[in-house]
Formats: sequence, C-alpha cells, structure tokens
Amino acid sequence: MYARREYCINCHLCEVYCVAAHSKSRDVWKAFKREGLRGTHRLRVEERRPESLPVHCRHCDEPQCVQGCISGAMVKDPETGIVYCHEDKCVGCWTCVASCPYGAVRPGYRNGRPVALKCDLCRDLLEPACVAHCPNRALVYEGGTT
Amino acid sequence: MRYVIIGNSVAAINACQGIRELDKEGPITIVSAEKYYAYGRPLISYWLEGKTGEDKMPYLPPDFYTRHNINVLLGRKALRIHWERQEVELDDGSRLPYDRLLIATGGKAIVPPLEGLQEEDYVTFLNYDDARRLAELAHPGKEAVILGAGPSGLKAMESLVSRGLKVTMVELAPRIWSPVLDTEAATLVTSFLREKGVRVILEDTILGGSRKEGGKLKLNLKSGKELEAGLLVVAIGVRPNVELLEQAPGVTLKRGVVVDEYLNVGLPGVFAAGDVVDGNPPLLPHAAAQGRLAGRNMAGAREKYKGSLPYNALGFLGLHIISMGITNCEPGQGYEILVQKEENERVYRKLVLQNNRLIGALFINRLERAGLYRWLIEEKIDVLPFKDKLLQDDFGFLDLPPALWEARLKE
Repeated sequence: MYARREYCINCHLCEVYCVAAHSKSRDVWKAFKREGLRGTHRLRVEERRPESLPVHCRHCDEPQCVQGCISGAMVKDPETGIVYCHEDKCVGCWTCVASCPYGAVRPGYRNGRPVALKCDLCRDLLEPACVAHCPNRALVYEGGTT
Repeated sequence: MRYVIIGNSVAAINACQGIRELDKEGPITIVSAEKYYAYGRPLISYWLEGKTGEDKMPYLPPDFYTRHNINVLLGRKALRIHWERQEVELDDGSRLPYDRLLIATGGKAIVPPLEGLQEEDYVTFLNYDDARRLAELAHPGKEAVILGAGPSGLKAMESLVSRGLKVTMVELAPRIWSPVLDTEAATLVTSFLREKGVRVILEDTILGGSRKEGGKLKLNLKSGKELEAGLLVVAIGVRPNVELLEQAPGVTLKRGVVVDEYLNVGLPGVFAAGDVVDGNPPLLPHAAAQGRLAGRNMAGAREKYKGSLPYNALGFLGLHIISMGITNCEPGQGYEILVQKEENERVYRKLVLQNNRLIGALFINRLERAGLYRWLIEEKIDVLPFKDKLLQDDFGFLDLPPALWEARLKE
C-alpha cells in the first residue's frame, strides 16, 4: 500500500472510512454518532497546503512496535505479514508510539480503554477501506503488506 | 543443534523466534527460574492495578511453545554451567547438554543495606511474584513507602495509589527520575504527583528501620526523619544477573557480561542478551532486539548488533512520558535545547540538539508521532532545514525534504 500524494485532495475520507471499518456497525454515521469513535482513525493525513499526504503503517519486516510491545499485544502475523494490535491485550503504555519510525501508531481510546491505534490493512475485509473509498485513487493497494 | 536458553523473559523468547527463523527443528530448552510462561515485566504494575488480567499476562499464545518444539522448564534453576562438557546443571540434579547456549538471566533488584530490616520487611518490584506479594499486602488506607522514584518506583506508586494506599516516595537524587527528567520536567511531574496526594521526599534515603508492635514499620531516613509505613517497596534499579558466568573462562564481567558485536560472550556457542549484557539499557525493546539477533546468530547467522539509544514510555495516574536519548540536560551545558510548554495541560516537549542533529527528545502529555523523532535521532538526520518546524503540533513528513522520506513510504 502506498499513497500518490499528487492525487490526494486532502479530503480525509480515508480517515473517515478507517474509523467506520473498525467500528461495530461498519457504518459511518453510526460509528461517529453512536459509537463515539471520532478520532480513532489509524492512518493520518498530513497537511501542508497545498500538499497533503496520507501516512500508514508500513508493516515492517522487523517491526519496532512489535519489538517494543510490553504486553505481547502488538504482533506480526507470520502468514500475512500484517502488523496489528490485539486491542484487548494492549495496556496503553505507548512504547509502540515511541518505537515507530513513521509515527504511524497513535495513542488512542476505544471502549473506555487506552489502545494503540494502527493500520491492520482491514485484515477482515477484501480491500482496505481507505483504499476502497479514496475518491481520487490516491491510495494504491497491491496486495501484500507494504 | 541443541539450544539451551537460561532465562524466560523477553530476550529469551525473542531468541526462540530468532532461532526459528533459521532453524525450524533443533530442540530448544528454556530454563525458567520463575514458574510462569514469559510475560513482559513492565506488565506487573498493570496487573497489580487490575488493568490487565492473569489470562493476558503471557507474552505469547500458549501454543507457541508446542508449535515451535520448545521445551520450557518452569520453576527450574540453572545452578552452574560445565563449560568444557557444554552442560547446564539444574537444581534437580539433571544436566542439559547444549551446542548453543543463551544467557538471558536478566537483572536482579538492587537492595541497599537496610539496617534492622529483614527480607520479609520489604518488597522489590521487578517480577510477577513481587506483584503478587504486593497484591496480598496492599490494602486500601495502608501507608506505603517506596524507595526510589525512577520508572519502576513510579509504576509501583501508580498501582498502590489506584489500590487506595497512601504513598510516600523517597528519592536520593534532588529530583525524581533524574537520568531522564530535567529540573523543569521533574518539577512538573512532582507537582502532579503531590496533587494526586502522593508525598515526595527528595535528597533523602532510607538507612534502616524496625518492625513495631502491631506490624508497622518505622523507617529511619538519612536526614534524621522517621517514616511510619505498613508497606515498604524497594525500587532503586536492577543490576545484571551474572552469577552463572562468574567462573567462566574467557568471559569478561563488568557490571554485566561483556559481549562482542555478535553478542557472543567469548566462549564458542555461548551468547547473551537482554539486561544481563553490559551496557545494554535495561529496557524491554532493547532486550527484545538483542534476543532476536542472538537467536539468529545461535542458529548460524553472523549479524552485528547495532543497538539503539535508550527509549522509554512511562505513564502513571493519567500522565504520560516518552523519552529517548539524552533528555535531562539543562540550559548552558553545551546543547541546543528547544522547548514547548502548555502549563495548563501539563504539556512539556523538549528536543536536545547537537550540531544540528537531534540527540534526545522528551515528551510529557503530548506524544503523537514521538517515533518520528526517534527516527531522526537514530538516522542522525541534519535537522537544520526544518528546525523551526520540529515542535509544531502536527509535525510530520511534509515538513521534511521529500528526499528523506518519499522512497521509504513507497517501499
């Protein structure tokens, strides 16, 4: 997965659909208005107008967030290569936030608990929601984990 | 190839993973003095205050060991190593032959001389058994004294405060967590602690004490003060646990065991990783990185350990700190220091530069993208072109020349 920043129009829809894809309802309106998930997006769009740049987890071969995790919550799936966080195991120490050289792990809250928020490539879906909903195809997913 | 690993914490299990990257079959035996499957040591404070459960303590899923042909001997101590025969002698009299050995025995809690006090009068705060002992002793309303206001003392403090104890911290240095916090940061954190009802005593230490009738402890401080406590926690740090290596031929012991760049201790096939290693910061990410590389090298790789600067994330009672590299320097010591403060929010962000390279960063209560700064430090990137942007709230790649990041984001 990578971003073509010349096509990014700074609409932040990737963040919106990221939140929805990681909600119970998987519905934008419900995720924001009923489930209280505003702000829990896992990728982030940097802004320096007129420039904008979506930044995701790179699912590193030797992920420093996994190496630094104190609970064993952060893992790299040996089969798919996806780096993701077992949110029920995460205790919110934020070592991963300090570890990631892309600044791609966010300190967040969900369901009343502190949890590390990071891209899991929507591992339950066919295609990451940010890619599927990018209106200008600025986000490109070619399978695999980078 | 037979692998034996002495120790069963983060360095040890990362070594197992490292071995299995290259050798899927060679039997691995882990000798664990503790009776628990590997858990992240820093989790004990979260367990003690009920923020994580017993079922979530294990670092790895239970089937990890069976899937990878790893035999874990729980509650078994290695007594000595017969270097010439390449055997580890265990406390049940049995011997384990090895072709490759990893010393991952970690650290031991440092306890200063405490005149008049016995081992049962205090609790250290390093492992799961310490936390379990505290769970039995830490009742609401009790008065606890913690010796040491570094990271583990502060985490012990959080657990005890959240369990309803009245906590006093005693610290020998003129400020709390002095290797990381400068005067201003320490003052900010100390005033936060005092607001939360924690008593902080600086430039003082506990010399000894006695058990009074009724079970309370009377503690004598260096200043002549006396403290009364229902519970004493000693958390002044760890020292490498090198006991098994004391008689080893060709092995150099300083504070910890000296290793070469491949993490070999100077004997064929014998490696060390984690807190036992001399000069390795006693921090979990560093133990994990060393363990992984030691494991690979045990299985035949020849990779050099590059190491990284110490970094740490520490949160207590709702305040969060991330530190990396050199952070406790004061103005006038020859470094360039950039600071951003928001007093109402207790936000403090400090960057330390030398020759336009970032060498340290400290973040209190605003941590977003802290890792980006660690990358700038580790890669020794010249920050001159974007120095004025470094402490902007939404600092990111777009503030940096694209040559630094564009290709990395497309890899």
